[in-house]
Amino acid sequence: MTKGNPQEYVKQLKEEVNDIELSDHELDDDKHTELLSSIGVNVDVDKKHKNKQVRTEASRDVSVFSLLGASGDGTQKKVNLNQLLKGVKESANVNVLKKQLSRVNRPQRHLEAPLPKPVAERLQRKVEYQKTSEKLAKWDPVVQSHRKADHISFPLTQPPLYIKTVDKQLSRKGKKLTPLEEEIYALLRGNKCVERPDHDLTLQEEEILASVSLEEAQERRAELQKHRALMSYHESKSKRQKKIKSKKYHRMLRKRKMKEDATKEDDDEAEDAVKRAERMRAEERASLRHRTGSKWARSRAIMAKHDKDSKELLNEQLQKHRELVTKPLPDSVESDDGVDTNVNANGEDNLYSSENFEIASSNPWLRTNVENKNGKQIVENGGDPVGNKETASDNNEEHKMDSECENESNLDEPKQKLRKWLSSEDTDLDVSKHALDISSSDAMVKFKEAYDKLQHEISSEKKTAPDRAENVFQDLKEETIEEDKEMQDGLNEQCNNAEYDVTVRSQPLQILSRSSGESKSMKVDTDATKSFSSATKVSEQEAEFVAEEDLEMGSEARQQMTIEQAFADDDVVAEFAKSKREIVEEGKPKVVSLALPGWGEWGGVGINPSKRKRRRFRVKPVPMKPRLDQKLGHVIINEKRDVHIAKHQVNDIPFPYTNKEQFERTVAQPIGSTWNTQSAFNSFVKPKVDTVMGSIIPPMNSDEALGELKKASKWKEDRKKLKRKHEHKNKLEKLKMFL
Amino acid sequence: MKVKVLSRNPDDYVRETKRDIHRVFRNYDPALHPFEAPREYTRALNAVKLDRVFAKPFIASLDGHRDGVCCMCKSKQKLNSLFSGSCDGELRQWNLTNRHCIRAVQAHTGFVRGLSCSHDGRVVVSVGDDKTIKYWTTDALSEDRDKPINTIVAKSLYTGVDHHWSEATFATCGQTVDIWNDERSEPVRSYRWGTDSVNSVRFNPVEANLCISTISDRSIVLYDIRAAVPLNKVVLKMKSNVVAWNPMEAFVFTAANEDHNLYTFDMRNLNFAMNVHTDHADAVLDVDYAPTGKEFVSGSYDRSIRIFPSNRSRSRDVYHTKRMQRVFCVKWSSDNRYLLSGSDETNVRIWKARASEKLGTLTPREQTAARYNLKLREKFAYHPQIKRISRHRHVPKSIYNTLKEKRTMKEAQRKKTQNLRTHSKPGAVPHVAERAKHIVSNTDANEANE
Repeated sequence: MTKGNPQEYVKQLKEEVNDIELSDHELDDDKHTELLSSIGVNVDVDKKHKNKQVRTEASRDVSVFSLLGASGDGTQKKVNLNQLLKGVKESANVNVLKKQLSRVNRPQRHLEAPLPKPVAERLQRKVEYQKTSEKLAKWDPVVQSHRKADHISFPLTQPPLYIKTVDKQLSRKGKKLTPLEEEIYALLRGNKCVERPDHDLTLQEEEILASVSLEEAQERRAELQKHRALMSYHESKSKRQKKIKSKKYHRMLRKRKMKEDATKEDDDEAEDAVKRAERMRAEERASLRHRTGSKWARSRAIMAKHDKDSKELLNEQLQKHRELVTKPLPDSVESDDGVDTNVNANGEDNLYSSENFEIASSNPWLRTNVENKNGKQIVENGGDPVGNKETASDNNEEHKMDSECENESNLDEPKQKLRKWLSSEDTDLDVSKHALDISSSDAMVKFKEAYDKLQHEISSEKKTAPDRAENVFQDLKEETIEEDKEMQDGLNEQCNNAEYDVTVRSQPLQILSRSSGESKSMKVDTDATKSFSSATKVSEQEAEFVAEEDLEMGSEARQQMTIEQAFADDDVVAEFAKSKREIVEEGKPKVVSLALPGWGEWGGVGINPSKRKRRRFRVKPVPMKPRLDQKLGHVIINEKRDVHIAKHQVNDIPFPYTNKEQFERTVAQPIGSTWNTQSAFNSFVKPKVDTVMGSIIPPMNSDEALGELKKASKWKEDRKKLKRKHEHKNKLEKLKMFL
Repeated sequence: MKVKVLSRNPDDYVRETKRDIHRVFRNYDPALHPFEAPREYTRALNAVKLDRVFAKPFIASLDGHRDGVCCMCKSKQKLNSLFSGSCDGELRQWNLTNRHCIRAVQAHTGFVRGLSCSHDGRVVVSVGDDKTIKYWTTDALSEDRDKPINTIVAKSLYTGVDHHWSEATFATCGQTVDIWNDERSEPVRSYRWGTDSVNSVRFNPVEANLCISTISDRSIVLYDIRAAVPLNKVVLKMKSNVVAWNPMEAFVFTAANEDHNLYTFDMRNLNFAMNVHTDHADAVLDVDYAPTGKEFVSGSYDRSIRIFPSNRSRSRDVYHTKRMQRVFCVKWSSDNRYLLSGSDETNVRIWKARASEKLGTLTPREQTAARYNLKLREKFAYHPQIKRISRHRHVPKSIYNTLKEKRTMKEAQRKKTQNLRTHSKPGAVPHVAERAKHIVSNTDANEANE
């Protein structure tokens, strides 16, 4: 194909398209015939009709009836008269002919024949019904509200109650007012502060408004706003501070406050006063001046038996001593609990004290807590699990170091920095280095070691991602094998601990595998986690390896394995037997001692009734009837079920309730006045439908019922108006305050 | 020797007057009341038992008609006024307060087919088998109380009449549904859809221009009296006798059907019934809504009256007496406290709407106790014992046996359908909702077919 011959190209294209269309047509035809035959139409007959007009051979005599239309494909088009006229040669009467033809062709103007009556009525009915249905929709909200209402009182529209107000009373005609009434009336009428019915504001308020210029008012307002903002800021800040639990933080805060207070006052004087007080206290503590040891005091003590005054004197002396000796503390500290201050006085951080931590490590519950924290940290950090793991294991050391170290602030800083660094994804080594430079204490050496370890790990991490994942996985596997062995040794107490460790490790593994995107390690991972959640502790690690092996096995075998895996530890029969044994044991009557402590001997905390006594009041259980399911191996018969009570109990949760608790709660909530206050009781027992005796209840009136809705909306508007007015008033009052 | 005693201030516990109730000091702390739920349950059990003990719904029987009472109407303005028409053409006016007949007129020859009171309560219109429409004054003391104010001789027989709720217009039904104006002796407008005769017509109390009629060809037809044509119709499997509108819900009506059921419809959706109320053992002949719209009463050919909550398919209560025969007409009084029933054995009966309610004014304490008991019954309604006791009713043997038989038949039918379904191609025997099962067609569907 050449560039210079576009026409040919177009032609070719057209041919191609025709070919395609043809094939399409054929296809469509096939489908069509299929469809027709499926409905039961004789296709051949149709074809015959269609093919009637095809000219098969060339001949001179062409039948008029088999002439094809302009389209040439068998579908004849109507020939327009005007088209025929084109062929006629120009002559005088052609135009006339054309005119006549155009008249014939013009659309005829006459009315359509009316629809038959049934059809017309049907249409009418349809329209009317639709209209009515649409109109009725206005009732929906009213009806719904009535259906849902907890309480309706009928008749819906009760005669309105009018309350005679004083104003109306006073303005009544024909009756003379008493002097007192007149006086009150005059007061009310003449006063500027009285609200006017047709105005929003009273006269006085309007005057105030008029007296203040706009700028002034705006200034005031801005000032007020600023003040308010400051207040709220202060409030929120103090609230935030109050929430902080750290004792250390509060101690610091207190100290700072003291310092500030001191600077606020005259510095020298205050310092002097403090110094003086401290000195006096020290002297008092050193001397025995106000104690009972002096000669005078001793003599007073002897006299005290006979003389009240001397006793009082002695007491005074002691009181004075107490006053002098007590440590002067700022107000805020005194308001705090005493324990807190005592601990703080030692100058040690309670949270990180070694004692505390030791307790924690010995107590399994606390231990899990501590480990939980570490685990969380790992999940949060996500990016470098290895480093985190190290810190998790090193945390112990850290805490110990903390307690040893005196310089807390120094120690805290690098620790925090390290944490920060751990949490950040791009491991900026400089920061941690800097953090370590700060430390100089002995404890910090250990820290440094940990840090080096970390750095080493990180450098190894800088390998490619999949390698890293595999490495880590290898490491983990080894560790888990070790742990497995340990557990199988039967350290039952540490089971929880170990389990937790494993889960902790599995998490970073998961994360890693995700990042590397390798399906293999991913699969292993997910399997492993599954096994954690379902199977027992010992089988967890096994499952991991099994999962790895899975990859090589066929799918069938794999399924077999998973089933075996799933039911590996489910010994259903044994479990049933165990539970039955438990139930039987529980149901057995037990030996009860009815000995009361303190009867016939001393009682109190830590003193138990004597053995003899306990034995004396021991009640032997009456041997029970053999259980119904004693000889039935696979059955547990509930013997506690009381038929007499069951008769009164609900078997299924009734309709509106979705769960048992909901229903039980409603039943347990009493409605009687014995258990509720009168007002609550009244609201509880309010009937759904209330009627007035002897009054006709008319059907719902459209004006009133729909008006009610409007009224409700109007009421809302009124409320808004009132609110606006109220705000306006408040503003005025504030203005007044400032003026 | 000094004896120590507890001393209290008498002001704290001594009543001011003898009529005061004793002051009770309570601590409402729930920890001190561990058995509150069981105690309330016991109270509820007692309440429900007492409710059954005091359930004596029958108040009085108004005796006087010489033939079965076939229609009734209550005054729209007076609580104590009732009109009843009997099968021998007698019209009676009753004073319900002292249960006396205050007027008896031979209104028609043959049945009094329909009675209706105007919205202002001044006129009662009756139609009878003698092809006449007669206007009567409601004033029983007027001089022309024995003569009709006006009589219209019609071309065909009328079977029912009902008044507009806010205008001087009424509708009659017979061969057609005719709308009449008080001032004219010719109907203002007539509606006809199909050839069968119309059994009853009722105006909507809320949307006052809507009305509804039941036709012998099993259909229920809706009209708007401002339109030239009926609005729509629904055809049920069997004929409906009467329809009642809910006076609080403009688009809801309930039809009393020959197939022992009542069907509640939303007139905007006639493909489904909102509810199917089953419990009667025979054709339901009349239905009337409580003025609160929360309940309705139905009278049946099985010689019983039943009360249904309007949103429940099972009845709340059933009333019957040994002597009451087929119930032709029922009404719920306008103050929501009483039911009225007219039956075949010439009596009009007055019943309490709530069977165990105490009549007359209640003291505040009685009222509180009644309310509390009601709430307790509601609260523990799901507990088997309470459910059993509150549901237990004694019904005549005929009803009991019929209902039992019906249950058996229904169960058999259900089993049969189930078997059919299991042994045929999936989807060949579809599940049809009970609410749609009884509806043969509604016009929309018909038109689609046409």
